[in-house]
Amino acid sequence: MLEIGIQTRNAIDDSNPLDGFRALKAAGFSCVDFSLNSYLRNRDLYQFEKNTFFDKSEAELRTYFAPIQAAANEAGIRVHQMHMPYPNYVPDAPKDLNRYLREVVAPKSLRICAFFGCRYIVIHGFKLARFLGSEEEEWEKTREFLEYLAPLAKELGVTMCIENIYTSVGNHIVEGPCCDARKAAERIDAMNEKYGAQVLGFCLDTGHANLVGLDMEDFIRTLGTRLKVLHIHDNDGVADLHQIPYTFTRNRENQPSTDWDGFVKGLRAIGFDGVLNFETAPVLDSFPAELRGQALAFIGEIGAYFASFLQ
Amino acid sequence: MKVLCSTNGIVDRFHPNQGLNDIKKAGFAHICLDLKAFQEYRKERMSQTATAENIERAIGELEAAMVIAPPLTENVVYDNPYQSYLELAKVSIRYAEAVGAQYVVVAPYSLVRTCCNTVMENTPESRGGEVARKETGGAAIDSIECDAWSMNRDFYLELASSCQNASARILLTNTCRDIGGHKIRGLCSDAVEARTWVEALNREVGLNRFGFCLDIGTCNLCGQNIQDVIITLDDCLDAVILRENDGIHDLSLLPFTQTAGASGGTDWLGVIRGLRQIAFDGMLVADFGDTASGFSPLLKPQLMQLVWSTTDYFRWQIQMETNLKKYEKIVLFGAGNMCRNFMKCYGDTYKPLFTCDNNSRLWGQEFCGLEIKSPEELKNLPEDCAVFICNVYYREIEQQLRRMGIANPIEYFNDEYMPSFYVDRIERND
Repeated sequence: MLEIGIQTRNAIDDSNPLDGFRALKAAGFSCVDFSLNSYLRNRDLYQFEKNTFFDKSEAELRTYFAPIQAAANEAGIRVHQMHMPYPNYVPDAPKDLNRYLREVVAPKSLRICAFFGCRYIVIHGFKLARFLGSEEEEWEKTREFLEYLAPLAKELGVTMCIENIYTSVGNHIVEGPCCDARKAAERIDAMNEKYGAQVLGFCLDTGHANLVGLDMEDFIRTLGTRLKVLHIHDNDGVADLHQIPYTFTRNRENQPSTDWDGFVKGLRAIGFDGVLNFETAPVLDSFPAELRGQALAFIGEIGAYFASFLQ
Repeated sequence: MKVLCSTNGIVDRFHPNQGLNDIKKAGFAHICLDLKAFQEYRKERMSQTATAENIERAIGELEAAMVIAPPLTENVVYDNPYQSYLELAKVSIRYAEAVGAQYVVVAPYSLVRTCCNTVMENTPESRGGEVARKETGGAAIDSIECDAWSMNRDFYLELASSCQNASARILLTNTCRDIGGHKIRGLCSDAVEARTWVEALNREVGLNRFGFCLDIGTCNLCGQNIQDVIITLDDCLDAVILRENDGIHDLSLLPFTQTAGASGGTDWLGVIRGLRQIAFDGMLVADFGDTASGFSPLLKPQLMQLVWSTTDYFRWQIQMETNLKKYEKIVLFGAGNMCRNFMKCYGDTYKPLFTCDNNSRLWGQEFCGLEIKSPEELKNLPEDCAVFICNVYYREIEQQLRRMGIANPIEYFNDEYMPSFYVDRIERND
């Protein structure tokens, strides 16, 4: 059966990681998606502010993360994928901040990923289409950033995964970078060919796909084996809520308003053999502390349910 | 470019004259006849009271440039939905012929999609899902097992064949798919798929019989990158339906009315960028049926004036660059952000002779490669040189120039919807 994973944000406390990893194991997870983005928050970056976490030397970072890695090992949990802090470029921010994100945060993130023995790191594309005038020109900036990192990724054996993300028009969430599977597939192939290694792959975020009405089955089929990692979560089609699959309905028939059928059908069609990873940290805020264990276990059960269709 | 008013929400089958008069008085010369309003409930035929002849009489001086075929009635079980839908489409083409419309919009037959949603109901052992690949005269179309393309290919070819003598061009359109009340991308939402279908159908019939009508409301419901959709469709695109919604409900609201705070909910920037980029010159259809439904008939004439102005504003924005091409020589009025944006996006292709400004402290300075002159210099312009006002005080500046006796063409330039933007704004204290 496919392995089931979940993000570490809200689940793992750095001061006592073993308890968190044990709870995840007990809930049915064998993998985690390490939320490196929790160490440099996007809301701060958008305010042109940053903390000093990534000022640490690589040796200091390894020292910091060593007990977390040891706890994961002890609990029988594997770090399967990681999320790089984002955004990687802040429009109209001081140049120093963008230089720091590119030259300090991104390479150190790759090294932390490798330190955990993790093969995949998820990276958000730049959101610049409004300013530059087209998705193609926006991608050029992202491509240039990824190619800056590609030699290091190759050296470390890490695959950078671009993710379908969104942007907004007023309060309405619409398609953002990497929402075109055809273009993504071509771009991934081109970069991997150029570097002679799997430096680039794809992360499908089901919640983001639902928000912009992607046909998940077609999307997954188009990506094929370029699809390396998943962010599984649900929402109401309006806001990025990161909730448990099957939570939302829109009509009195109470059918799910997210195309889970298409999702599973797509994974099955491409023979997906990766980890069914959930990005559902907010669920742990929604439920009272007394029910969090059961909520986690329920997410794990849903993962096992999906896996039963994919054997 | 033809600017059309949709009859949706304005013209009803019992009293068509009133709505048509309102449309005419607002300034529209062309309508898009949406047959949904004339369809008999649960039937694949039109109302007895709304015969093609009656509608033709009511239209009068207006030109019905486009007809939209109605969908099958929702939540009705048809014995043979394919045949019922085909019959509706054929009836729609007959209406188009009767009223002289050159275009008829027929959405793809989409029931095929719903029959595929069975994987989670079966046992794991029973699941398949092989990709079928159909060759369509050169263009390869990937499709899922129940093969939407194959069924629609037969549908459209039968439609074209049965209406061989009809001259109307058949326009496919983008659709949504309903997942538990949530609209997601349906057939022909993917512009590559849409273009492939149109081209394949035209190859099959050996004529340029098929085209595409892009429904912006549908794009918005699916959160699409509309600019990319338009650029991909390019010369397949015959018509664009302008309608707004909240991204959740399939409504037809007047553009710019679905706002939250200072922002709208539709990517009009992407729409205008895309249409300007492909130099769109087809039909622009205003569909605001749900907005119209909320207004008293007594207020509809005033609403219609706003609809006309709004639609014409889109035409003007889309043709912004086309308008620049009309003139051999141009000068700008204004030496601020709008001038800077002009120079960033159009300055190389349409190089102005100079710019001018009412701020005398700027005279003689250079800005974005242009000399800033006094407005008095405009009196010496050659006759064929147009003045493009790059300042939001359009009307006041136009009056100023006319008072000065400037007889040259005066045009408004606007930078709300530019091909690209600066990240920053320039600020001057004076």
